[in-house]
Amino acid sequence: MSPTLRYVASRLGQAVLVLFLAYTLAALLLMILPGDGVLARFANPALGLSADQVEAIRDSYGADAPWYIQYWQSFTGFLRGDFGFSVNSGAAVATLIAAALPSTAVLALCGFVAAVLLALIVTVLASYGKPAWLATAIDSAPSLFVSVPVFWLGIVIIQVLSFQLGWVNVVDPGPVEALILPTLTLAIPLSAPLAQVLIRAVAEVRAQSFVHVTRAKGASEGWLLVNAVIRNATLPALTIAGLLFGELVAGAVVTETVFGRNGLGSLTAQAVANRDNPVLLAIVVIATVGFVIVNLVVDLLYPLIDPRLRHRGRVGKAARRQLKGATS
Amino acid sequence: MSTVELAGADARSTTAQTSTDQSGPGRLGRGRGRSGRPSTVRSFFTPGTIIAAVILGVTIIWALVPGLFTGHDPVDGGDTAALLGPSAEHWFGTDQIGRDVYSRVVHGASRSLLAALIAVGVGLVVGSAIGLIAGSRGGWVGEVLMRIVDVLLSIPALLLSLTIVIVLGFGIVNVAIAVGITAIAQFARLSRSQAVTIMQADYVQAAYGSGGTYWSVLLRHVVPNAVSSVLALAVLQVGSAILQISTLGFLGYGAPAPTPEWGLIIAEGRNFVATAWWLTVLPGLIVMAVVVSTHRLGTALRKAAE
Repeated sequence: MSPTLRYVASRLGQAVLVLFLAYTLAALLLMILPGDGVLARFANPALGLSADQVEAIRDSYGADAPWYIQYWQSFTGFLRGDFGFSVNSGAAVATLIAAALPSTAVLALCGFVAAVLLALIVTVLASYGKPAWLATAIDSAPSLFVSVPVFWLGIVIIQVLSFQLGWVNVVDPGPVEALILPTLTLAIPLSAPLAQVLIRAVAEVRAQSFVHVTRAKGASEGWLLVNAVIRNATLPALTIAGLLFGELVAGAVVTETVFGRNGLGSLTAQAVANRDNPVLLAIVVIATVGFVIVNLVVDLLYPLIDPRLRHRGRVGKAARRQLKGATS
Repeated sequence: MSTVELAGADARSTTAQTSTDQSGPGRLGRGRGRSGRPSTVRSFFTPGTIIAAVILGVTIIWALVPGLFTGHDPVDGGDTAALLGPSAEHWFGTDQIGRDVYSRVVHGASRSLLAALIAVGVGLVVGSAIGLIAGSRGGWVGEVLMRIVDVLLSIPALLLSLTIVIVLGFGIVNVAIAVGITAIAQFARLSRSQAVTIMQADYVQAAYGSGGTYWSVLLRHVVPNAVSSVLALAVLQVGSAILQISTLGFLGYGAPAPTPEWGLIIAEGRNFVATAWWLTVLPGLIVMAVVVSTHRLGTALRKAAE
């Protein structure tokens, strides 16, 4: 087996193992430890389930079987895409998630794209901005914005942009208008860590001798930025992709709560408020799968982007090390 | 949330340490020259860190003796008018039932700081124990311990803490423990890399040579040498913990309603966003100032520890 293939296989194996263990941990906490307490709530008359339906649900969980059978049934259920039933509404969790996913996906995508754009603008202004005091001021903005409570930022954005300036209507907005402020709320804290990493990377690349040589040969700052600096700075930016995914998940929960949007985030918040363990379990597992896949892809992309990491069969070792440091 | 400055620093220190791994056993990674001390002390006291220390100091005194700073009752507004704007009498205005918002923020400091300390304590104790053992033992024990850390890292932090909250139940202490569990991985990573470096030092070989046991080496050499950088991380983590705890408080999983807790204060003010900006903006600025200050101090301490 070639070293590359071995590297890919071992990373894939690690990812699958971590996913399995993460599922086990979440199931242990949310399903096995609470035990029958969760299932008993299906009998709540407020749910309006008939005795047959309750029996069917209990049967699908293997409620009367020992915990390891329940664990196995739930595990195989997750592999099939069957996430069980909500304790709060009796609905299938898969249906709830399928209904909530599109709205959150759109928000997350918009937020992510806006964050990347914002981070690039901040990086260019902080690294090349004139006058110098402006560049310094912008340079210190990201470290301020990683310390902002996201929920507070959302409220302040509503206050200023909507109530004070009247730019965006939050009371009865159209579908696109309703997306503007949540996107902004999600993007600002997300862009801050990205900008921090990019600003540092740009400074490091610009200090390297090959950049001086290219400049001495007559390259303009703009040409250098596009061809030398950005290319080399994407690598450190990639290392925090995993981190950004985590921020995106947390941001979605808070943003959807603040703006009263329906989606996976508000589903999560409701699940915790109602102690709806099966719903939270499904969300945790799905988010963890996403998180692990993002990190896996980044890990595999590393040697492709940076030829220095491909040397002598030690493919991706340095990359993995860097990545681990960055996501911790 | 917002552990990024730190993440970058971790990435650097990990690479630095692994490169010393390869430079052969018996070499201490970082030259910790005595001559470097005075300049690190001087570079530690920049205007930024002094302001940060003052802000944190004031917050700590708020937490210890809130009565010194405000005469208003944080829970009972009495017959004060509701939704008064900020004034000399009520610095941060009053809320929907006439409570003094500044007083609520001051009285909330003890709860938020204590919760942050509990969270960091959980992360520090459990994480360092895992990391030190993994780093000094190596072998399959180390592998298994670090796989556990990988699993903790693979679940997005907020969802991990929500899982713990749903298991333990609501309340500020449970929220603090939940946030602390999300911090375990970072402490484990850092202390492991410290332990790996220290175990290669000459004095550890010498200690083994003169009859030291694993535990005596761990307690007398590894722990004391790792402690400064782990404590620097702890200070940095206090800020993140305050942020996460206030987020969970805002979502309503922390302290119950009349209690002054920073996240909850902002959550309650949210309904009056159109008419009474001071209910949310001013408490939020305080939270932000405290978090920025701990980040600032933590970063400076980390540099000094290196």
